[in-house]
Amino acid sequence: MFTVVWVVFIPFLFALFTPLVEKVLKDRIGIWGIVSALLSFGGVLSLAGYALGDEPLYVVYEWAPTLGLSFGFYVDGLSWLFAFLISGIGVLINIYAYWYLHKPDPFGRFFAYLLFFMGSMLGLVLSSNLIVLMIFWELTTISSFLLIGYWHHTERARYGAVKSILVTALGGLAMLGGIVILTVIAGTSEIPELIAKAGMIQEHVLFFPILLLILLGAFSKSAQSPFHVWLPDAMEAPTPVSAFLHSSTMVKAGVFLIARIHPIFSGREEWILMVASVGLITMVLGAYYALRKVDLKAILAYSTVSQLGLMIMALGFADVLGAKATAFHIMNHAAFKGMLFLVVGIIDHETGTRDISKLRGLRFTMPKTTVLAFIGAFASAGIPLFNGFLSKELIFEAAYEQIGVASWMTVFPVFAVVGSILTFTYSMKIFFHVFYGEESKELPKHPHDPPFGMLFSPGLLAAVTVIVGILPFIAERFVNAATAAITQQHADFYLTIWHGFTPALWMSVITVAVGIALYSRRALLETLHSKPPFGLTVNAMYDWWYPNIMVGAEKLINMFQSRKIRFYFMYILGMVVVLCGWVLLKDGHLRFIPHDLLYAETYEYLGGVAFILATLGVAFFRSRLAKVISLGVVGYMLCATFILLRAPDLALTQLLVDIVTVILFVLVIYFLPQLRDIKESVSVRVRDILIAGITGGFVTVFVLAAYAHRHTQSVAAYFLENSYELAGGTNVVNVILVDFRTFDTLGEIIVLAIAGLGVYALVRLGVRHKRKESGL
Amino acid sequence: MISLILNRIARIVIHILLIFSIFLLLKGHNEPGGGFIAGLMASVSIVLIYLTYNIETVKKFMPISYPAMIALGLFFAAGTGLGSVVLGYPFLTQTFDYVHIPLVGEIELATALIFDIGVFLTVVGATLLIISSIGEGS
Repeated sequence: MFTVVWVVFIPFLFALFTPLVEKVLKDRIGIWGIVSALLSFGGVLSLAGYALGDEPLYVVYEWAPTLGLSFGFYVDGLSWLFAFLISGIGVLINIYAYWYLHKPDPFGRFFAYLLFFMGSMLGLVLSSNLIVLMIFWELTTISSFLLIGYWHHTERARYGAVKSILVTALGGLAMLGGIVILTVIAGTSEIPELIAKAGMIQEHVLFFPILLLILLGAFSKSAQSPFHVWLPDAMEAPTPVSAFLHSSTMVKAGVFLIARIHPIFSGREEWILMVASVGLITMVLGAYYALRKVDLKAILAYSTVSQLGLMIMALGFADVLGAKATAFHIMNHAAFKGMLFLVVGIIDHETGTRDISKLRGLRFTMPKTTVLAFIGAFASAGIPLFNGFLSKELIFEAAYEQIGVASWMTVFPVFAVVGSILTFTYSMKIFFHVFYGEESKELPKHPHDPPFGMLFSPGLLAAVTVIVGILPFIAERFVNAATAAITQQHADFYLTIWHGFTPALWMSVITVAVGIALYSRRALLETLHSKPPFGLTVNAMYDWWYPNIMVGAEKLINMFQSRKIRFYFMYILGMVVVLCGWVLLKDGHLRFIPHDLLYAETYEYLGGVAFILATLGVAFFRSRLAKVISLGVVGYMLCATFILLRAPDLALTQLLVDIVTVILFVLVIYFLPQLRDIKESVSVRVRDILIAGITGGFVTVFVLAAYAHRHTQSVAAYFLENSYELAGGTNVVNVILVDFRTFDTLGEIIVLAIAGLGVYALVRLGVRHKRKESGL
Repeated sequence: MISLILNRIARIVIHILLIFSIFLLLKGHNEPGGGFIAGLMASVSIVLIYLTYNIETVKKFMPISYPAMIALGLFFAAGTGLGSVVLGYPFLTQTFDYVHIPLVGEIELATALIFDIGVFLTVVGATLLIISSIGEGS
């Protein structure tokens, strides 16, 4: 029960304490990350029983029951498979990064971000509630932003980070809208309950908008066309990050979500049309772009885009075969693509470049890396005996089955083959171009195999790639469990290399044959590099849109933040009058009861007169000091009123607040310029008088009207009765502050703390700025 | 310029004020007072030193970092809340009990007091931080 909570929160806790631990471990802080990942991984392993058994684990903690919100975890075949990949690859990435990072990069920050991401991602896949899932979803977006911008001193890294957060957060907003509508119509945001109500949701009028909005989120996260633009720029992140977030886990969040909502939404034609088609387009486009690139990481980025499209396409078929193919391919792709990224990281690390046109003949100097790259590239190309072949053939099979569903769906098997041919070609290019041929002499560094620490993680992934490729039945149980979770049907498949002479096999044969032909014509391919892509690219649109949106946002902000305090007052007072006045009029609260308003003791009259005079003084005195003293008098008169009304706590507070305020004012006046006589135009004066008059008049009316409502039940009675009984205090005011409404008080002191630190920072920065200007 | 009268009086009054502020803090649950008021009272008494002497004297009198004080205050306040969560109650659940101590008599121990100490520290820290940074700006 508790294990699942720990699995998610251990990385967060470790991330939180990283700065402290870094003081002890110094450059070895990576160990902290490895330990955390290992703990989470162990937790996930111990949960395997729930995923592989019949009964999923479903734990719910109440969060805000009045809002129908709960903090729940759901471990079934699908979420466990993802959690397994995230924590398992997390361990490997932490080990790799320990060797990969170099001074003067801040190590602690890197591992803190990485663990922060790992916790968010585990929370995303394990939560049972769509709203909670959404929160973790956005946390992964934020951590991805931080990690892409890790080398924030380079302009490209900042560009990539901003681009990724804008594109994915945009999709996230759409998704939030979809989730909210879904929650409202279904009356729950718990995924298991939503699955039970799938029939009702599919009948609903709003089915299409909900699906569209949620898919927008999933597509932007999983870099589906046209949202794929952010992923290649995200490659500015350090390579371990690219391998972890941007190929094996985070970008699969969209695939995960589509798989998770599969039982709720699939079954209507819109599903096939939207999900499968977008996947198909992305797969072909991504593979085409990958072929055109010369930067190794860019090739892998587009290749990831393409492979994600392949998975989403298979999910779009809305049948058991497609779900099974996707589940298997998720595992296999995480292994071989994560490994390829790590290999590219090694190449970059040891040769100083990732440019494919400079890299030649590395097999002489880096034999071990060559073996790894061979396994990765051949798995990616879909060659038998490697895991990529098996799942790709399953997808071929699923695509081929679609011909029977509708004749237009013939495009799926056809383009699946086209995409795979392109994939085959660039995979061969990665391997043969970089590792074969004459040894290149113009490399920035003299290349050699990296230390064991950097070979360990890709080596393990390579072993998995080969073992699963040869003995696929090892993965059978996991794939079946995930397939059952996606389709909500019992799945009992066998995974074997040899299926007989099936259509899928012929599709593979065509892929390899045409792929080899295409690769041998690579001189033709080289010309592709120089040709620009289609005239209007999504990137160009983004680059046009981004500065414009920034300018627009600044204009909007300037409208409200005029930096003049009188306008802020106008907004605040205006809103008070409009909102409170609206409520008064709307519900007919505006009524008065007759009472003797003018009855008061003589000294009360005197106090009232002093009150009014002091207030007028604040407005009309000409020197600042006189104004401040007048304001002090107003405060003390208010204090006197509290005493008359027998409220000693309020009176004490008011008195002290007034002392502090006056002292502050006196301190500040010292710095302010002399008050000037501002010649205001008549219209401005009339406007100010109107605002002041209306606000004053409104408050008077409001107070009188409030008097008419005194007979309604007052909350005070409850507090007076229960203060001693429940909270053991007789000072009701204090009991309210520290017992009944503690949460409010906590909020208030946090505001106070922020205000204090804000003033401190402002003054300090101001002083430093001044010193800089005067050259000190 | 240091006023002699203010100087002499401040030396005595400051201690009384500080003790009184602690009195207000401890008594707050049953009599007028509480963390907020006590915090303001303590800040005002420190400000009295500042007004009578200068910022250096304040630093000598109270060699504490104000941001750290704010952090400690928030730690206490949020800590009582987390404490109740750890024990399985909703966030910020408070409890109390009465203890009999020989000679002193019966006194009340409430977790609300820990929270109130947090409020006290935050208020003192924030107020003094604001006043001292503006004062130091000169």
